[in-house]
Amino acid sequence: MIAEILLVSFIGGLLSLDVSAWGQIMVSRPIVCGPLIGFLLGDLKTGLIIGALLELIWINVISVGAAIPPDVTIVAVACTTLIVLTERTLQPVSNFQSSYRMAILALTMPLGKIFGIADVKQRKLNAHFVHYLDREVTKGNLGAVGKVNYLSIFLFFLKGFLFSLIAITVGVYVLPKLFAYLPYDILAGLDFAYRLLPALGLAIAFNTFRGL
Amino acid sequence: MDNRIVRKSDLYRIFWRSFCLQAVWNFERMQNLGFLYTLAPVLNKLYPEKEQRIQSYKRHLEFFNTHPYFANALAGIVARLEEEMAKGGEVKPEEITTVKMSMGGAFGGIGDSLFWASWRPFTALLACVLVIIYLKEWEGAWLAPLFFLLLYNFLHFHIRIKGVIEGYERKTKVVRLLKKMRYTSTISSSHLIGSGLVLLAVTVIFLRQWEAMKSLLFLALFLSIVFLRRLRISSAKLVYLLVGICCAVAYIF
Repeated sequence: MIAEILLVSFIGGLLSLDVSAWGQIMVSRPIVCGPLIGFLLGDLKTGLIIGALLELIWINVISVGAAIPPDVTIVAVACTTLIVLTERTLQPVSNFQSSYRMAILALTMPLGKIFGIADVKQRKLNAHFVHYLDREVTKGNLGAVGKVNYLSIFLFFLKGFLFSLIAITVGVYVLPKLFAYLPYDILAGLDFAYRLLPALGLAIAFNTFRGL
Repeated sequence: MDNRIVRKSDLYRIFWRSFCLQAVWNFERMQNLGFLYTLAPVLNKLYPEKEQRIQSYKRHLEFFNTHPYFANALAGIVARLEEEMAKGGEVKPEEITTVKMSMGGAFGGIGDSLFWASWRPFTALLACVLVIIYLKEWEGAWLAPLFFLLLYNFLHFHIRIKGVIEGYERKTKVVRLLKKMRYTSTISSSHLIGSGLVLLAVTVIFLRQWEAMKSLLFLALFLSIVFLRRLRISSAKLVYLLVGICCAVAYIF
């Protein structure tokens, strides 16, 4: 399991680059990284469902100008991984499968916001790189431009990798213990919320297209 | 025409480097470093003298921001202007800065509404609807994300490649490229088809899911969120609201 967590975090770091630092070919969208992570962990179908749900819920998230929206990639990676891994350990009691899924989804969603804060910090730090390059270019050290570029991409990767690694490791150990304490009423409510989630996602998508 | 210094291979290098445009995105000057990195091979070629080269690098370290896909068109334009200037034409450095600023802003607005607010939600929704409809009956539902990537990136790469080449060839007249793409009708039709797709998916789920009571609840939730649009509740809050209400209902009954 540790090898799997490391692999998924590594892929998560690479995928989070696609959000802004490198590419933007949209492999960072939940509809792509959910199934990809699911496939790596041997449960493609769950990955597809979670990816599609998160995509619909956050279909209206756009980064315009300098505003940093919640990071959907890290949520999709952490959520899919945690669902697949906990379902493996909780296999005998699968009566509440959808309740657990809903709980994990609700618990991982704030990660996007926290990751967004880290992102803002890094982008503020990047200004130091610019000042450094101002000096280096004046001195005539033009090769520094490329080096700073690669270093910054590596730092973006490192941030995504470490963040998913910590979130997934904590989740894998805490979540099964937490689920043991959930009372029946809450589980029933979560189960029902999970079944209604597609309606919520589709409504958000409808609002997005109608409102623009 | 043949005394050009910038060759087609240089334009392709711009294209490959342009993916790193936002690698050092910062709040102070935004995409300045990425743009300089994208343009660096051309600048190195145009200014063999070190002092001139340093000056050109410094010019492009200034503030720059636009939509990442359309930055390629600007890189093409700037490559051409820099070339004309290096060959002793009448282009002034200030002119290049002005073009970068004004067209950067315009392209930023167009790109945001075309890609972020229309094309990406539309193609993503298409994949989601495919997953919703086919997940139960069809083994190949995993093709939906692949289909999304292909469809989305078709337009994306088109803009990136065409942007550099046409930007270099036609300079600021590259705007015509947009006209030819009929981007306004792409935006409006993707919104129209998108809404239709949502309604189709809702109908499919409504007709096949569970017993009548739950189907009605499904529809009621969909309609209530659609009508509550004016309150502008964020997606995450809506999810927590749903979980809260469901848990409360389960507790009461």
